[in-house]
Amino acid sequence: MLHFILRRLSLLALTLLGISLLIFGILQLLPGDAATQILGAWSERSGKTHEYLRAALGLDRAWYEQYFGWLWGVLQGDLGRSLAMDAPITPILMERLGYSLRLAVPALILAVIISLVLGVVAAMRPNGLVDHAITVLTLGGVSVPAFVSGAILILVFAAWLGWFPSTASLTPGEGFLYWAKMLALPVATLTVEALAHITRITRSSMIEVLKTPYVRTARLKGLPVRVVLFKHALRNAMLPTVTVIAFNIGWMLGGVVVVEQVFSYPGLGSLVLFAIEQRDVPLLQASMFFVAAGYCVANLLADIAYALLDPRIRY
Amino acid sequence: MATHSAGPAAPHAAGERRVTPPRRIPTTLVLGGVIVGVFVVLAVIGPHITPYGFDKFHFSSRLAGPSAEFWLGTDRYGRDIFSRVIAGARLTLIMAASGTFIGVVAGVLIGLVSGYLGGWIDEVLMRLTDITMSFPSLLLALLVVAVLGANEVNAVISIGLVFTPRVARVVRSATLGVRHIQFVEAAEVRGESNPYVIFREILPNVWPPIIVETCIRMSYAVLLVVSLSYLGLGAQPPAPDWGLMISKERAFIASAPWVVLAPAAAIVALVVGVNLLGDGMREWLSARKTSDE
Amino acid sequence: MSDAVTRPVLRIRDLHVSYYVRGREFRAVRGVDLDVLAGETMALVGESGSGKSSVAFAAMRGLDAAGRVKRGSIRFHDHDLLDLHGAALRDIQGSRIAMVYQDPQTSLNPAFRVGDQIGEVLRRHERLSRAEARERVHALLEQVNLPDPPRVARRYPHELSGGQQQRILIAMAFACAPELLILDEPTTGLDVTTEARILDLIAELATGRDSAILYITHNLGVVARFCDRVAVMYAGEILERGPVERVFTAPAHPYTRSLLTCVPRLDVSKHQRSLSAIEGRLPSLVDPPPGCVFEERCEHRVEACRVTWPGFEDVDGAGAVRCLRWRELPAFAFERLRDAEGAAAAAPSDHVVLQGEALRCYYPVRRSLGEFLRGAPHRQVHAVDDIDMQVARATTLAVVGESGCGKTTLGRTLVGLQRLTAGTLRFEGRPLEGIARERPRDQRRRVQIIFQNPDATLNPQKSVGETLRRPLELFARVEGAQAQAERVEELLRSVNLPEHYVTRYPHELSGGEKQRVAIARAFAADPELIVCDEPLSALDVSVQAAILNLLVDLQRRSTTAYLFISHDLSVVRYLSDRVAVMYMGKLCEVGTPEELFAPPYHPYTEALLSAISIPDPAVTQEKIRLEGPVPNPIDPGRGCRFASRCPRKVGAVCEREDPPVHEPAPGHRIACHIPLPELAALPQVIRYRYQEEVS
Repeated sequence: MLHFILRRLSLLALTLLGISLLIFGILQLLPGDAATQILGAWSERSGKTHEYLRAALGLDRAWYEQYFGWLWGVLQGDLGRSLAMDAPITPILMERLGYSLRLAVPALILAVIISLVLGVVAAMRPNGLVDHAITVLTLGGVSVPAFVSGAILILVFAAWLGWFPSTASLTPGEGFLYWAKMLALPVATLTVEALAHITRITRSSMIEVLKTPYVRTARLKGLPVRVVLFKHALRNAMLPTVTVIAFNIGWMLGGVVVVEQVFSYPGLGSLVLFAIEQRDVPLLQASMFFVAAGYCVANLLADIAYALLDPRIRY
Repeated sequence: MATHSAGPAAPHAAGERRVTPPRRIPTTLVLGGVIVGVFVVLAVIGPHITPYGFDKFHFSSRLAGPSAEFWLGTDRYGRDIFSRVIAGARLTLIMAASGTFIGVVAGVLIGLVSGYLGGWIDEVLMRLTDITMSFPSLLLALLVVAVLGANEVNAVISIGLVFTPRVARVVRSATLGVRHIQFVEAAEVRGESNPYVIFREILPNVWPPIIVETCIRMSYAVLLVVSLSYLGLGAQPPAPDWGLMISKERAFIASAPWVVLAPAAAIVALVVGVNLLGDGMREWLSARKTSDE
Repeated sequence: MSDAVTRPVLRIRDLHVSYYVRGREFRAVRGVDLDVLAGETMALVGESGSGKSSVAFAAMRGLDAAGRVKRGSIRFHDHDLLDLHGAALRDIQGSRIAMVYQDPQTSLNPAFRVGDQIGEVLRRHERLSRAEARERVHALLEQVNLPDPPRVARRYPHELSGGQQQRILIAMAFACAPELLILDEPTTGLDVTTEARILDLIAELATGRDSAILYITHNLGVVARFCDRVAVMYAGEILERGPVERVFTAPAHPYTRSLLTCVPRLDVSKHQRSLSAIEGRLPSLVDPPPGCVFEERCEHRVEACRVTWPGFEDVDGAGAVRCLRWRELPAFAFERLRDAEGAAAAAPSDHVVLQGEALRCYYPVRRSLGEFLRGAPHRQVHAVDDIDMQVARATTLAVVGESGCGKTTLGRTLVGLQRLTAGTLRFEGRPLEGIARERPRDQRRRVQIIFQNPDATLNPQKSVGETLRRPLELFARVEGAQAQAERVEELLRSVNLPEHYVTRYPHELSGGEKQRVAIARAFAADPELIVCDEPLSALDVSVQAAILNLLVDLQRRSTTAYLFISHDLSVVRYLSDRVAVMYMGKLCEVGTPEELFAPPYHPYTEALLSAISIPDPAVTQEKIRLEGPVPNPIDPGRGCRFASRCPRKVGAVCEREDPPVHEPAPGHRIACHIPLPELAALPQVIRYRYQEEVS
């Protein structure tokens, strides 16, 4: 098992290297450079200042020098300096990450628990009444973009019922109830999205597994239905589900961008949008890398969970 | 003797010419087809049947509620929302379909080549797809649009780029499933060229997963298009894009919910339609497979 | 026979099972009556589609969702199984009635340790604690002859071989000493030597526990060796039943007779007679015929057979038969070797088509990252290791061996699907090198292949015509649409398919028909050598016979040579002119079939002969069972590869040195350390009763 994890870790390092190169490469395509951005309309008139600023920002170096300089910084935990905020990026990212995790983690936990139950219940009687109801609900869930479901939740629970605030303005130091109230709608929006995907895959893999000879063997051993279902079948049906959960973490990270925008929530996603609007290249580069790295780690965890569930892929 | 894996397999019709039994087309497929069909019709003839031009201002009746005059109400400039929603179908469908098309064509080519040739080509292509897939899809699309500039064409390109590795993965695994089946080896023994084996022997047998994947991608494409527009990185004002409409008008959601609900309903209806089409297609194609065996 | 024998454990009456698939009803089992008596082994024999497995699963109350018992009763002792539900049914399942399944690999849950999967049965039915169950599991594993039970119990299914997995299922079935054991083709997919040991084991355990057995199989040889009574099923009905001795020596039903004669017998070769094949297809199960179900394919049918459904008639107090004409049929007799001794073998040609010297084919084993970093040496699977061979024009060289012995790899190197690691192949005097694409077009034409699995051999998206036209186009022997169409029709006729099949797609064909198309495709190139890679093993016995006849017939007409890869010694005995026995990448013995089936034997040949099942109760076999695990083909050292399992091992020399080659007759070679006189003195493994009468 240790061997397996080490292998995956080394693969992760390689992937991260590739990701950083890709981000760096794409950003090189940007018309104009950071110096032009900072000077804005001034840049045409003040050629000298421009040159000076380029040198100060290190933009006169060859691209590979810039890249390795940046990489060296990352390895030491220094993600560079934001142009728009004129501040080091690392602490900003850390703070925003904290906020985003407060959204994503509860949403993921809720989604996984609810969807496993729904998936198994639906698969017990394929095409039964319960199954049809669940299918219709999940179909709705995967078809509604986060900004629509968010808007509807705001309309119902903030505008009409007035139970929750429509924007999550955060004041540090408040108690759990305050946070719960602030986060209820954004978390619900994220949950709905992940829930639908995971339920659908759990249902279909459970239906497949229930047809296998080994489930029949378990049944004909005289085991109670409960044991056949939750021990013999679910354990194997979880395998594709784990992959989809990992995939959903990625989708959720994208969803976070939208949800944070909908609720004006100061997380990683809104930071990315801010960087795009401000054309803040160092900040965009760092936050993109950060999100992609987080997704890779989630995938790594999913791989490990997969290996724990399926003895066949342990080396 | 044929060994069936699950004990007494359902028998097939023997004795007479094994005509494929008349397949029932799944209800989901019909329903999805109808919904998508309606949107396609709207996209084609939409601008000719709308009561008003989608960008015509009616300053006297801003944020008016639904009425006989304005079926779905008006927005803050007094533009007729019904006309805008109808006109938006064309833009959304074209953007989603072109993005999907780019992604599927590129993905199918990469998947076939990677899966059939294997070796270092496969290794390199798959590492590349791994890296692109390490970005959550919306974020990669955002990055590409941020660099290329926010407009419709770049949104389409970014969607194509996001989809390519995902389609490639699916097609590659389907190809691997067929690659070592004996009819492919029979072609290799004849000394057939790589293009012949890939396009004449393998491709016809991996159509079903490609079709299903295309439907899945199409539904994600619609979601991506409207999300990008919502974030201000897709279609630009005054285009009647559904995501853009929700983003620009959502401040009025409490007083005039129709400004958000009408385009939202259009989005959900279209995506539900595409998803039904995909589910139905999957069911239909797998039923065909089992009846063939 | 004691009184207990007459008491039925399982009593099935008028059983009807149907499957409902997309609105159509497939009447898979119709009106089956069956008794299994205490302590006996009852065989239910039939080909695919006969409904035998449906009967078994109905008796176990384990039909899948699409299947339903429509009518009838299934009594187990005093319980009516069809009336039992819930816990009352589950109390019987797995404890008093247990089952061993066809495919052990998919029948075991991949996610749990095998010990726990067995223990679960004991904990459910005998309410044992975890620790008590563990004790019992170890004892059970000991009884099914698995070495080191505590270690095996902790394995996952994928860490065990097919034979070991089947032992686990057997241990599971015997855990609660069932009164009735249902075996659903328990040895299909296992090698013959493993099959023989598994059957011995089941017999031994069943005797110890006094379990009655219902044995579902298509393999008549196993029935002859293993069972007391037999029922023959066809298209959902039982056509004949009775004691094994009577049914195999004096079969009353034409179908039973055909089944027995279409299996190639070990004392007949292609030069003596062709096999009797059953032409035609299984009748429709949606709309079964009103009369006898076998009528369409029966050579003795009369008009009455088509309209009158025959009832059972008693056969001389030994079973019953469902046939209107059974009394009028000629007396049944196998053609024995001595009947056909006059048939002269056609003199085989000396013209060597293919010559291979010191052929080697190694696969690299992928190193893990850790091994790579540690600089561990490259390891290789020695699939084919130093083999010499030659095939003469118009003859058949058979390569026999068990799975994993390298026979398929050898065939693949010939047609260029696999690169040789070393050695030289010469085809008609010119070197045959590399993979197919690198070979000259004319060489590709002259070496063709027929694959094992008829369902995979044809591209499902191409019609029969397209499939057959492609080699014609490619090898430019026939040009012009008209000429090609004519040639395609001619090819179809040559494999006994009607010409209108040109427009059909593979899913419209039966397994045997697909294999005929594959044969036509190989012959379309007008080849000089065809590699036949187990072309029969996926087919029913009745279809096998027809394909074998076809191959023999085509070879006579075309002077094509065959390299026939097989694990089935009876087919090899019938078809081949020379046989090579392969084990772990090496040849043990080469010779004519006659030489191979008589001493001197290589000890491995001897064990193979002992393990094959022969559908003739008049045959006796020496009992030689191979123990020990199959060794690892990765980097085997020097010495005889068979040493680790050889029952006649001489001593350390076997493991230390490569065996010398004896040549008891010109062309007959045996690689063994045992001196030739000793090998020659070995007893004949397969003996016929009539031979013993003579001697």
